[in-house]
Amino acid sequence: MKNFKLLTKLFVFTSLLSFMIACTTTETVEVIKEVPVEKIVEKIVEKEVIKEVIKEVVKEVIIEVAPAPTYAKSINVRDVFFFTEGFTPPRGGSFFEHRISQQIYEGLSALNTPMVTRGDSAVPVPNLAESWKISGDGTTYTFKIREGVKFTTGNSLTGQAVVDSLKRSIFVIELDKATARFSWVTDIVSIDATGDMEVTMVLKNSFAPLLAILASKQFLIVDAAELKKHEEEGDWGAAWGATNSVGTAAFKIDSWVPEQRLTLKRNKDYWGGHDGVGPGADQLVFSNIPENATAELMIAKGEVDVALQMDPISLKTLDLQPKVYTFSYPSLITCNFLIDRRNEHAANDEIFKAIHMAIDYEGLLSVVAMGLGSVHQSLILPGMLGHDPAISNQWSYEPEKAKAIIAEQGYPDGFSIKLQSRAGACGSVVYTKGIEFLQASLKKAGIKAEIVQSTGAKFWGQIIDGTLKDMGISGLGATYFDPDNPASVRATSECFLLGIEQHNKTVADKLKDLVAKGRAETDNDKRHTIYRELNALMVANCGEITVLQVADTVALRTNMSNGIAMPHAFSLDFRYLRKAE
Amino acid sequence: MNIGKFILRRLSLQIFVLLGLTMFTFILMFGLPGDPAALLFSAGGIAAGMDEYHAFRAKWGLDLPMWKQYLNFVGNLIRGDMGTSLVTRAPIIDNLRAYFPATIELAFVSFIFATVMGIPLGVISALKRNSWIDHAIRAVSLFGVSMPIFWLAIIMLIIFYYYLGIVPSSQRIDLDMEIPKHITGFYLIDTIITGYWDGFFNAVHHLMLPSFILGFSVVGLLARVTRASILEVISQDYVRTARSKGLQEKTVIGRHVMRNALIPTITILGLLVGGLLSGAVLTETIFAWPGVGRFAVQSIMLLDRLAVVDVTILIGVAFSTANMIVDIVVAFLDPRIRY
Repeated sequence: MKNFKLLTKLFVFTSLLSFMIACTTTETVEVIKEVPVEKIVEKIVEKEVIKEVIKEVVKEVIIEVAPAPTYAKSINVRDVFFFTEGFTPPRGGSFFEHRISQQIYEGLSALNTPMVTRGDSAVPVPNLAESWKISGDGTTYTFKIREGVKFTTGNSLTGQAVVDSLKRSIFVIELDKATARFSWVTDIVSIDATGDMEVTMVLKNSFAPLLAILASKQFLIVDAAELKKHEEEGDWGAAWGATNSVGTAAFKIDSWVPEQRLTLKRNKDYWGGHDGVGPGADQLVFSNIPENATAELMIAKGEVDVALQMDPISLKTLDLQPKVYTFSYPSLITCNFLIDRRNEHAANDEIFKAIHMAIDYEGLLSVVAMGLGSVHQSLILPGMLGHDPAISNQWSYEPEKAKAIIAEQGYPDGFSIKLQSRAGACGSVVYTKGIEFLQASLKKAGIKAEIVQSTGAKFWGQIIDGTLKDMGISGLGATYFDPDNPASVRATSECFLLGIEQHNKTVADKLKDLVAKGRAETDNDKRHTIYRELNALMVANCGEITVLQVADTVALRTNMSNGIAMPHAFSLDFRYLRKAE
Repeated sequence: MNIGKFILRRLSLQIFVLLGLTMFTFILMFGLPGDPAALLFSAGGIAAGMDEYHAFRAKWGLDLPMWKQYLNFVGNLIRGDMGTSLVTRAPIIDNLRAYFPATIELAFVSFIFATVMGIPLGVISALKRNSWIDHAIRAVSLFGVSMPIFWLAIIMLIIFYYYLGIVPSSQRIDLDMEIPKHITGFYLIDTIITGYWDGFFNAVHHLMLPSFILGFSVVGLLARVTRASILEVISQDYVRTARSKGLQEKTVIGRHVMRNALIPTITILGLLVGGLLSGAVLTETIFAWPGVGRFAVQSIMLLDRLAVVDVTILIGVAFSTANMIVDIVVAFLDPRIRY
């Protein structure tokens, strides 16, 4: 007891003494100020240099990366994945499954990845198809299949293999009763091998998005004959294929332990890719590390080389690490506020405009998404036909103007509305934060918003039932990089569920008409005009108010280079990635 | 009643407990607002096909009234079918088989750690009552009980992984090591069976920090309960009698004090099993431990009702079995208890 009392006194005395010294000694304060500032400046300079290098490398990527490099032993990747359905097309809808599928399978066409990273338009370019011809009426596509390509199973890619693969994709889509989501498949008249290395696809109607769709996950080419050997209960190998790879791309599955780790090995027989870029590592190891704080430590320590799906706060912290750099690239995800046009207030066109003016877009971007992304107010994304910067950035936060409009419409004291909040995130944007911030910005325009706690299931259930009276937040992504995707999903589906037909039948009919026209038109200039009109009509009338295009973010060790985004795969293209060992 | 009859009676009662548990969890899950099918379909652009949505609900029986869904579930459970996950489309039993061993392994090692540390600390604390050792142990106990697992885990990772580099960061085995072949799902057992000794030692290494974090919160509780219990027993007449008849101190403590004082501690141990299993959720998240806790959280988020109920049943079975074992051990320790 005596010893304890003595120890306690000693502890208290030492603590007080340290505190007094800390308060009175200016020298200590100076040291604290100087050292971190120097370090931070060094890190910022280093980071800026790295960013410049990245920009240069991206510009020159095809020339720089093309020669076969020495292969790094392994690239370790932090990812987050749960409840995976599988990697073999057409199944597997999560971001993780998409990004893995795009590393192990290829399509007849591909999107010109590095160019899109620079913000140019995405154009489908030949990939496993060496070239194609489209008939004048847009209903017949003839593909010349690339020679000398082999599946990782050892089988050669032929016209018949492509036909089997496409037919299998359609078969599994029908098996999963998902044809409504890919309704165009019902328009296919025939898919035939019209030569050893030629495939002809005949459609009932002209369908312009086809080439973009053939580059998307659902129709990537698989070795359907190999999958047939592993058929279970008539599933054409869907169950077996979930975790086995039968593709032609740069990597193949080596091992898969659900929810823990996926190891991809380099495909040694890879044909080289449409741009002549081969993989730079012998293996990619994707580990499931759900906690951001743990992932931060792992990349800072060098246990992982690449960290995907980091939250904005972690990225800011990692920016200060000397051996780590971060960057972001535009994703296909937008964040939107939804409101039913049958809602008492939203039914009024002037008030609907005022609601647009009562949203602090820049504030949402900086506070909620921590600047990772961009303000974007329309359904067509940059890089897609029909994109119009003027439409996508037409609204600004003008609460006073909004307030005046609302008063003019008979609500001098404003009005009340309910905001449905729920757990979840749209890329970097956290829904709950989004709703809280929206509440604050609406208040300045005289709209009193009451936050109601909800769930994703309840929210979407109400939309489906047509009973959404309140305003809520959602995130939406596209599955193929063509304006038809957002147009068909939103203009003819969500917009209708949000009451456009009851609100304005003429606009509703026009939307349907424009979506159909956009699909049928094969001339890109004409499609651009059609989608611009559709986009403008949607923004002015649809109860889905797009506010942000979210950025995907990634952190890499400084010995990693060529982090280039795939625009349609929610991922880096790991074929380009290089590691200096 | 002999011990065999006691076990049989407990097992038969357990069936009713589990039935109640399933009903309670089922009602709770249905009480959550929302439609799991709507949630799943919203991911791919909702109502891209309403027919598809309605077909999905019909296929999975989501359009049936709750009581019918519950009866279907119980009927299938009796036949040994735990149902199919709405999200993975795989039998839930397969998921549990994959995830539960990881949780059990972590909870078991934490349990051992907590017992080996907690009880001796409690004994020392009681025997050195009011000394600086006693105060130090009580301070550590209080720290263990009151520190949030999340905070402690991150701090420990920063110190022991990031700065000192003496423990691994996460997962059950190093990223560059082969994952052991799945036999039982317990890495410590599977590596021994297959003779994968590097994997065994690596798995032990990976268990150290998470099991310490999970067990540390329990160490404090155990030490405090053991201390209080020993202090109560040590002043009893029979202890004084034992000392007065000239027995050695270690015999007095070991035979007379400990045997009586440990009864409350062992009872607490049974309850701690539940705490370790449910407390593993946070530890599993931070250490990327692929256990049933994370599976349950994801299932709740996606309203995968059957999966949540199945996890509850499994933890319920583990918890009640642990308590049954405790009752049996207590009966052996305490001659006054008869079944």
